[in-house]
Amino acid sequence: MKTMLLPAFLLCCLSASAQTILTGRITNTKGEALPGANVYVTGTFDGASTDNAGRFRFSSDLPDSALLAVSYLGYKNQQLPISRGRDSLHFDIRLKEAVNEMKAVTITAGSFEASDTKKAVMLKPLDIVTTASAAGDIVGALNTLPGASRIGDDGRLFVRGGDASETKTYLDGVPVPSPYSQGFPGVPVRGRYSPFLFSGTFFSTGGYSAEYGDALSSVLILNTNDLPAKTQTEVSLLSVGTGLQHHQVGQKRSLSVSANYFDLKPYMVVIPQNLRWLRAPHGGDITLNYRQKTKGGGMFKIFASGQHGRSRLENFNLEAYDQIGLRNDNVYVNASLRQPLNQQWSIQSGMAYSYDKQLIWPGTAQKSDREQVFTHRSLLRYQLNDAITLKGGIETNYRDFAFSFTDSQQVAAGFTGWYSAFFAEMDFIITNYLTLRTGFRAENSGLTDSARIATRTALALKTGKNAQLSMAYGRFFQDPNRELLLYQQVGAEQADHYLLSYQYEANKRLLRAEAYVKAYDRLVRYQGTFNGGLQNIRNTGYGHAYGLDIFWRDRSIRALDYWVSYSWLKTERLQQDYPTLATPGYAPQHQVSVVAKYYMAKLTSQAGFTWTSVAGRSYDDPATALFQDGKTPAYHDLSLNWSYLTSIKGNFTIVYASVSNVLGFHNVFGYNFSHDGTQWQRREVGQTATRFFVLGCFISLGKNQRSDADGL
Amino acid sequence: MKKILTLTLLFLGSITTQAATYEEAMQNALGKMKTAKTAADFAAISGQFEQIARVKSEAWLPLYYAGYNLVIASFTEKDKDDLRDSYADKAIEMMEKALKVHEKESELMTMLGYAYQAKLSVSPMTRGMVYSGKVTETMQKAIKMNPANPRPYHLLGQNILFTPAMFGGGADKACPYLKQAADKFAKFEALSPLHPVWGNERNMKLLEKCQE
Repeated sequence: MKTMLLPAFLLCCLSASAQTILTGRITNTKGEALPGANVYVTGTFDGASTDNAGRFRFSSDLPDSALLAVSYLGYKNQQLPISRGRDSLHFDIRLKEAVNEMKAVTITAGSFEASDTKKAVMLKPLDIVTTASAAGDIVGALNTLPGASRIGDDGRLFVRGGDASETKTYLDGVPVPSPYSQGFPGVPVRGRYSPFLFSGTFFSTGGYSAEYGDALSSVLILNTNDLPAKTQTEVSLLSVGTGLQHHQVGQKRSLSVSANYFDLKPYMVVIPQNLRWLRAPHGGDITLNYRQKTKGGGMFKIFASGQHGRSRLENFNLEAYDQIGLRNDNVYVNASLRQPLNQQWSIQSGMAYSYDKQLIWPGTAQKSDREQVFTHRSLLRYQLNDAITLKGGIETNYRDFAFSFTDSQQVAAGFTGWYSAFFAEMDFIITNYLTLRTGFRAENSGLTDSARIATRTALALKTGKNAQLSMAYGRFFQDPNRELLLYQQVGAEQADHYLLSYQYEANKRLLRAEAYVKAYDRLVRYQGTFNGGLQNIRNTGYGHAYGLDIFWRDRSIRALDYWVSYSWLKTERLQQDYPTLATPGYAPQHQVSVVAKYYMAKLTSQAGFTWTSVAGRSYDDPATALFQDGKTPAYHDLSLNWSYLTSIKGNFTIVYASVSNVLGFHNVFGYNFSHDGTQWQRREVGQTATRFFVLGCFISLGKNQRSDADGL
Repeated sequence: MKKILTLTLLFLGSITTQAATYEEAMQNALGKMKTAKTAADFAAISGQFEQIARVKSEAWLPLYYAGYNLVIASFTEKDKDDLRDSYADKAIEMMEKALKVHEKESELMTMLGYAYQAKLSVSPMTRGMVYSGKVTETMQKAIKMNPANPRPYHLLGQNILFTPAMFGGGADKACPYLKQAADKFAKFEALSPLHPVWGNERNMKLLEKCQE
């Protein structure tokens, strides 16, 4: 009996440890095979990966209550119970795609983003610096994108028929009230801040999130660099000035200080100018950046900048030249914190102080504009689950504007006032193929004495492996320009955006076509002139804009990178002192830009060009009965640039050269009219010089890779 | 008596199968690496190591190889930058997690640096500044943890070799590292057949460039 037991016992054990053959097929929810998926029995080393047809086969000694687990990058893991006691088992398993930000379709309607860290962006920060026509200016590079109109005598961002003041700039999440340098009428200005300061740039041409407001057309969001890579000193030598920058980098914090001085005088002696400069533009700036990593992966930043600039020229006014001088002083201090609080909650908060003073001396008179702005913006983000993110926040600012004009006697005016906003928004990744963003923004402005609610909604739908559709709607409000706010009775202006965007991206090529309609309402109308005083101010204006933007970028050819953008724009407004509905002078109907960059490894150089053609702009010829019926000739420009990377005594050096309008086009931006008693005389508003040359050299001193000098 | 015998047999059997299974599973996956060609192949093998790591949670080798295969997958993938990034990102995450438990493991630190190198190579022009520093820093840490480990020297040398001279790279700066790596490879003895031994052949190939 006992001898019988042992074989029986062994048998039973054998059968228990007998191997079960597991086979099956792993597919996605559409039934397409997933090759390379991992299939295994939990708690054991038994498993296999699927072949090209998504099939697997392996055997296992199944332990008690074992599960069959399947995992595949980008899909939700799945586990199934396995019944024991059979020789073979077959499984057909469909995996669901994991919903996550990395894979989900992103809303692209109206947005251009430049970033090193995020996926699916159209530009890298370096692309901005190396665009030929930009001459190192962020706005100059953004002007090569569809939706932005290049207004050569102004230099600021004009988006989809909107005036430059309709674009608002944010720096580290806080508004920048005065983002451009100041200049004379007809002399193009530049962005105040160097493109090298920013590692993330987000440019929206419409339909943007409820996070941002008080801008009718567009927002430009700039995020400053985090900790620099290493402690080093940089020297820049330019044909128009010089600069010095030092980064001190520690484990957790860094301090960067830079000082720049510019003077166009020597340059203007060599290169003939069309304007009669009495004193070429000159000035300088000091910028300070402090970075501190906080516990839990947060970052605290201080950005402080002081700038000063002045110039003087002879301006043709009516029949004679008279002298006009300009001086601008600007201070901007911004402190911001972004901090994850726990797995779900995070906060982003910042405040800024801005001081901008501009003095203009036309002849013997003096005009002074001084504006101080305190701004604050805080945003709380809550990640409910993989699919839903909720955001809410507040934005407040206090403006203090003082204006004076002194001639034989002094006229002074000014205003102070609060603006506050509350916004809430939800990002909902419904599936990896469908994303929804919806929210609202409630604003209250003491300056226009108005409370208003704007709703914003956007949707992105993946229509194919490489294609997607985006839609966006939004209502936007903005307080009128400060010159108008001096008159108490003015109200906020309003715009509605409707966007439909198609994007196709494959093999390093990207095509985007976007159609839009904008409806303007409550635009300010008035009679009279600013100098003579305005009467009859009322919000009875209206207008519309519609158009098509096309963007094509191709990086599939080795060492070559190029993009082509085309904008078609139709817009008319009844605004300001317009007698009828008319196209403003800053809204050309067509614009084409081609930007190309070619990297030559052997020469360690990059060469690039930008071609821009802009259709003629509307202007009003007072000699005709019609309003805004004139059209300037079309604008053309070919800019070239060359950067050469080398080292001077072991210090990394970039030598940079660029020239605008190589072909010497005679571009006309508009006309000034004066009446000589018998008839109207017109004078061209043209380029300040036929060409603009930049020659520069940037040297990074120091070869040490490590931050061994932890001086902080 | 017989009962005891059978129990003993069963007990012994279960131990040996268990141990053999870890070894076997590791050997099996390591064997597959020799025939793998595409990025997807390496990603799948990484998954296999990940599975082993789930069962043998106290061991660092399965995690190490899971990361190693992702890094190779990232380097092997040629067309899709997004995919290259996600392989490298997963490897970085894995190594950081593993280093929290096995704080002093030089090989894990080396693999973290190698994963940074994969990130760098996706876009050297734009990422060079940040990631080149990270690679150097991480490899220096790995050397500190175990100066006898040849792989951080090898990878550091390789990184410098392929960095343009004006960014502080070039053969003359890389070769001292590669030579040090060669010396250390010659003396290196793996603790077990499962421990990492790779890198010597490629190091010798790179050293040839120094003789040129």
